[in-house]
Formats: sequence, structure tokens, C-alpha cells
Amino acid sequence: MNRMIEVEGLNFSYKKGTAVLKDISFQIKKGEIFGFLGPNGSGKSTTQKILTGLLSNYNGEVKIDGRDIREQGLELYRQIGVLFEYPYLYSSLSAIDNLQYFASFYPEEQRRDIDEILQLVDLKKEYRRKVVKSYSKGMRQRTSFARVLLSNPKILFLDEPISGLDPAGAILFKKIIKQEQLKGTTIFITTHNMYVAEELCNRIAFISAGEIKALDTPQGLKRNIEQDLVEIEYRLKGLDQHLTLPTREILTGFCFEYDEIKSVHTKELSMEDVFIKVTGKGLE
Amino acid sequence: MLKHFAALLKKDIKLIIHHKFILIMLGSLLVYSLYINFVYLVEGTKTVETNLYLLFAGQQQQSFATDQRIKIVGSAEELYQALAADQDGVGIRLDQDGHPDRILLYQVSPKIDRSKALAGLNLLLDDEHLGEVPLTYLGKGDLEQKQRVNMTAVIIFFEIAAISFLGIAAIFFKEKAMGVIKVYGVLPGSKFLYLASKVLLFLGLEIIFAVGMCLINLGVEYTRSILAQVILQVVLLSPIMVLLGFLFSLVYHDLKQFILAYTIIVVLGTSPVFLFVTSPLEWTGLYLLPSYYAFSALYNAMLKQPYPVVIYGLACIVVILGLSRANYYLMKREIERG
Repeated sequence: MNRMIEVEGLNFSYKKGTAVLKDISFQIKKGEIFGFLGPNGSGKSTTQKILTGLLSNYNGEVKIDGRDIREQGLELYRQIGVLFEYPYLYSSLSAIDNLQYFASFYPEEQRRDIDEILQLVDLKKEYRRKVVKSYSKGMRQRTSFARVLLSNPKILFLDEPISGLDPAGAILFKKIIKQEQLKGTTIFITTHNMYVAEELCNRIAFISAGEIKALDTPQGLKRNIEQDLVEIEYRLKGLDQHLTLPTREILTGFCFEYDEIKSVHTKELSMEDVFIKVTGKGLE
Repeated sequence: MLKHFAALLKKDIKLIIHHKFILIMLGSLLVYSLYINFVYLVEGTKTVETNLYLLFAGQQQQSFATDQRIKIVGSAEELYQALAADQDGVGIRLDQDGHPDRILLYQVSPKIDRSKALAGLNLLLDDEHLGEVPLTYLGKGDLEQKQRVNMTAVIIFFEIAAISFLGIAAIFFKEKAMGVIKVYGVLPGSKFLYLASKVLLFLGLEIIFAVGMCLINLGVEYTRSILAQVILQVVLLSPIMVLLGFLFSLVYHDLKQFILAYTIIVVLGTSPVFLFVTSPLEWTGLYLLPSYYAFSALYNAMLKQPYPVVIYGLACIVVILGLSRANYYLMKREIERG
């Protein structure tokens, strides 16, 4: 197995005695989309900061492409692209000026063509030479994503990648993420958006209070909970009512009062339901 | 590395142009020069305090003990020597009756010469006798040039101390607000280069400003004679102020908090220096202010007076290295905060 990210026994605290990450271990394969799902303050961002080399005073082992992250220095940043939750750009420069500036930090043979990337993220041509402060939030996010893709990174770190995007933008971003995966790019997504995680990720880790509580494929996580539900909608004394029961209860038979059964259908657990069942906490 | 630095510099130049920093600098160059030539020199000469050297024709000696500026000399030779040593002074020869016979002074400009002569006579005579005594010029004096140098040095120092400090902070707070400092943290670029680009840019601007001020207000000849020294002073001082401004903008979260530090450092730290170094006022507390040594070095360099350039230069280099190191760690902390 070609491991791109390896984390073993990772512990971290900002203040002595207050652990933010507790003995975290996971591996991510080359070309895998890995989701880090957890509420605010769970340790998602701290883990990402360690993986992107911003925090170095941790305990444990963190390897990127087989090499300890602390030994890589600036070399690490030639391999990774980081998309922040907010679109951080020079607002007084145009998209093209921003991208030219950020591109200049990478070797020419590694860079992608700026026009091609702006085309990919669908930033309208008439805006490309206008200053970023005249852009909508979605346009800024598209420019930010272009910045990340510009250096052809081996690993993409995406923090809440579709937040602030309109539905068309969200669909486009998801499409680009999948295209990147097909190219062999490893993608690490931190989010508290269960739909994004479930739709995009090959595997998801639930993080809560600095610990990984579960790690599996989206289907595997749901399967492990083993609680398929059935929802019955019925009418009783002129009023619409509904009842949700575990499937096995129905299979063993049960009684309830009704005048008319309107529908019976299975109800699958959402990723948020699964998260709550595993961690005992919500995602918000 | 050179390519990264060029990219950083190009971006910083674009930001400086966008924020109209160069226009502000050129505007202040113009306003300060207008002030020196049309306000400071005109008003400044009105309050010139000159020493008065009196030479009596006969043996009679009068007492002028009420004013310390009046000095009585015994011979014409002594008078010329006293005036050569104090070219801002005024000499008056008195006739047998004790009336002013001739006024001797070094030539500056008709306005200043007249003002000095009147100030000297005023110490001796009542108003109705003023203007009746002919002037004799002993040579070209340098009072106006001295005043030009005084004010030009003050303005160059203030520009470097205040504007570099505030300018870098304004740009860095903008970068912090835009979040691009976080992006820089995940780019394969050195933090030292990030700092160096800003230091170099402001240094370039300050050199242009200082040379421009000297050329406009001190003249081409004088500027040529002090150019190397002035540039050296800017090279030593500007990076310190830029790095200090950067450090405070890293320590403080917003511009409001920063303004407090700015007030303390710039207003309280540098204003007394201008006041006491360029005037006869005395205050021993001045020697505790680092800005005193910085301003004195610039002031002496511009007046072509000796100062301990090697010690001062080494001290500045140590401060620059220390501030660069401190800024590096603070910048790392800022990026880690996210």
C-alpha cells in the first residue's frame, strides 16, 4: 500500500496539561479522499496544522510521502496545497496578479497554466483582471481554489471546501476534487458538513475531544451502528401521525392503533445520526 | 531564492502603489519643503538669538551686564576672531561717543542679516536709532544653511521614525486582515525573505525621500558633500524602524492597540529629541532615549560634524539582527495561530 500520510500516536497541547489531540493514529493512501469529521474545537484544525507543518511541537510521528514532516522544511510546501475555510487573497490585486504571485514560489515545471486553472474553477474572464475586492464570496473561493491547484500538489488539504459556495459552485468543486483524485492526488478534507464527507470521502474519521472515535468508509460507519429504521405514516381520528421503529421490531411484530396506514418506508441513518451515536455529541 | 524575493518585492511594490504610499511620500516631500522655505526660515529668523560683540573706539567701557549675550572685546582683531568663531553673532563698533558706528557680520541673506543687525542694535539702542548704522559684511555666513540642515534633519528623522513605523504596520495589518499571512505560512517561501522584502522596500523609499529632501532644501553642492553619510544613516535607521513597526503589528491584534504603541514610541520617544537637540534647552533625561543617539548621528552627519560612526553603526546592526530574529518568531507564532 502506497501511504501518503502516516500519523502514529499523535499528541498535542497548546498549554501544558490541556491535551488537544490524544494519541491519534491513521494512514491515508495515495489517491484517497480522507474526511476528518468533527465539531468545532474537536481538534480538526490542529491536526491539519500539524500535517501542514505549521505546528511542530507535537509528540508522535507524522510522515508525508514516507518522510518525517519535521525533516522536510520548505520542501513540504512544494508537495502540498492548502485551501483555507475563508478565501485569503490580496484584495487589492486581481485574480491573475494573486495567482502569479503565489505561483512564483513553485518551480516552473510544477506550475499549471493560470488561464487553464481559472477556466477550471469557472472564474468569469471579465473578472480575472479586476481587483479581488470587487468579487463575491463565491468568486473569491474559486480564486482561492485556483491558487491551491496551481502548484499541482501531491496532497490537497481542504478545510470546509464548499462553504460559502452557491449550489453550482459546490457541484463544480466536488467535480474538481474527484478529478484531482483520479489524477492520484491525496485529499484530506476537514469539515463538519456530513453531506460533503459522505459524498466525497473514501474514508471518514470521526474526531471528538481530540480523539478519533471511529474510522471507516461512510457505508462501514453506518453499517457498524446496525440500526436500520422504518418510518410509518398513518392517520388516526382524522390526524396525520408517524412512528419510527427499528426494523427488527417490525419483523417480530407489534401493535398500534390506526385508522389508515399512508406509507411505510425504511429510514437510513444520516452521517450526523451516526456521529451522534458514536461520539455522543452533535456536529455543530 | 532570488526569484522568491523578487516576487515578494514586486507584490509589496504593488501594495504600496495601491495604498498610495508613494503619493503620500511625494506629497509630504513637497509640503515639508514648502514649510522649510516659506515658514520655518522666515519665522525662524525672527527669533534668532545672536551674541553681540562690542568694540569701543576709545578707552571708555560701559556696563551691559544686564544681558549675557553682550560681550565686550578689546581690539579689532579680537572682534574678528570672535565673529569668525561665532558666525551667527553680530559685531558693533562704537565711536568715541559710544554710538554705534558700524555693524559687522557674516552675510546670510538680506532678510536674515537685517534681522540680526536689528536684534543686535536693539540690545543697545531705542527703536528710533535703529537702521542708521551701516552694515559691513565679513564674508558669507551659514546661519540659513544651518537652519535648513536643522529642519531637514528633523524631518528626515521623523519621516523614518514615524512613517516607516506606521507604514509597515498599515500594510501588515492589511495583510493580516486579508489572511494572506496564513497562506504565506503554507508556501515554500522563507519568513526572513518576507521581512527582508518589506525592509528593503521601505529603505528604498526612505533613501529617495531623504535625498530628495536634501536636494530641495540644502542644494546640490551641499547634498553631494553629505550624500554618503545621509544614505548610511538611512540604511542604519530605516530597517530598525520598519522591524519595530512590524514587531508591534505582530504583538498587537488590531490597529487601535497599535496606535497606542505608536504614540508612545514616536511621540514620546522622538519628539523630545527634536526639541532638545536643535535648541539650547537642556534635559539630562534625553540621554536615556535611544532615539537621541539615532537623531544625533543623523544630525551630526548632516552638519558634517564628527560622531562615533563605527560604534553607532555596530549598535544599529546588533539591533537589526535582534529585531529580525524576534520578528521571525513572532511571525511564526502568528501563522500558527491561524
